[in-house]
Amino acid sequence: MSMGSARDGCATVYVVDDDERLRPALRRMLEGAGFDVQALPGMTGLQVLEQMRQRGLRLPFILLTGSGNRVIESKAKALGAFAYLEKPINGKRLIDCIRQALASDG
Amino acid sequence: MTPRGGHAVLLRVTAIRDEVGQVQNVIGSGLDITELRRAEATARSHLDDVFRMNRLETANELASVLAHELNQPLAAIEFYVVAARHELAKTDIDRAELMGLLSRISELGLKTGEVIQHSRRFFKRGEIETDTQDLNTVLRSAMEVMQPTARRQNVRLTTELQADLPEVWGVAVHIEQVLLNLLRNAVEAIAEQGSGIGEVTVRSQRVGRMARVTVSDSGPGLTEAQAEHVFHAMRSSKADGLGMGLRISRNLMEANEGELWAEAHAPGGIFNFEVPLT
Repeated sequence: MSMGSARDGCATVYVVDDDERLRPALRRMLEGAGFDVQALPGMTGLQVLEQMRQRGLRLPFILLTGSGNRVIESKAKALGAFAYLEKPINGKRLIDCIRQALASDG
Repeated sequence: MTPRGGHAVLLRVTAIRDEVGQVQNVIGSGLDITELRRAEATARSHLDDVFRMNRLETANELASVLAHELNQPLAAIEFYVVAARHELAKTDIDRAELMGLLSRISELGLKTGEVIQHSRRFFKRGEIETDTQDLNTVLRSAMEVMQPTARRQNVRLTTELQADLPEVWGVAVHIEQVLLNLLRNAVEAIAEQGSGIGEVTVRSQRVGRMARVTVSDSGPGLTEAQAEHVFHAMRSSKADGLGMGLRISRNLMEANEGELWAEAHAPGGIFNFEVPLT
């Protein structure tokens, strides 16, 4: 997921996940925490991160994975992901991580 | 017949009768088949070993799929719980919203339980015993195992199973393993093609005294030469040894008095296997 700070103070979180079970749950939690949520369908998180970097977009990016794949982890870190987290994750920890990412983005 | 020396001997005795049916002479012959029996036992043992390795590989793969299939709903449950907490923290609690969140948590919990139950069935059904089988049930079981992998590769698995198919004679885990190997190959062939969404269809039908299962896919298919060579272990066109899995599958089918073959058809791969009806 990647994040952008909106001018009205409500940050937008772009959620990239094609899983029909997870996406609505993540959206519901983040909306409840006060974020504006947009879904980006049809790509994997890593693909979005690669495209963002190719286009020079420096939005903070958190990779949330269920596979525990070390290759993906090192690739995400090399592309400058803010954090690499494994599912299932404590929801509050994820929200805190998003807030930290937004704060680091200035 | 196995005399004291430990040799297996096949005895043939023929009675020569006269025109009224009286036995006039008896001709007997003995053939030492010790080596043949030994070779058969060794071949069976090798096939069992290879089958177990192949099954173990599938079990490892299933464990990885299982981890993913459990992580997703568990993560979703946690997110709905946090969302419910946010709702409860409000001064004007929306009870309908809260009930909706709890229902979703409940549904996800039950779904997660189904994933675990199915995997337990898969691991339990390890007995290698020949028995009568409901072929469509065995096919559905293998399809369920492969479903998550197919979904992740954007491949749709569909079935066209003959409803009144008589029972077959064979080892359920062998049949299941053969179908799993074919489905895995089909999904990988489609994924390597890189053309987005693909489809694999499994059909069952009665053909004479056999039940035939056809696995067709929207992958690149096989030329005439590939259709035969694909069963040779070292002739794989793929880096991870497509031929080995298919060779094991063909051996498993032969052990069940069945057959496995590929059709020269492109585009679209077609594999068939047959097992005897009871």
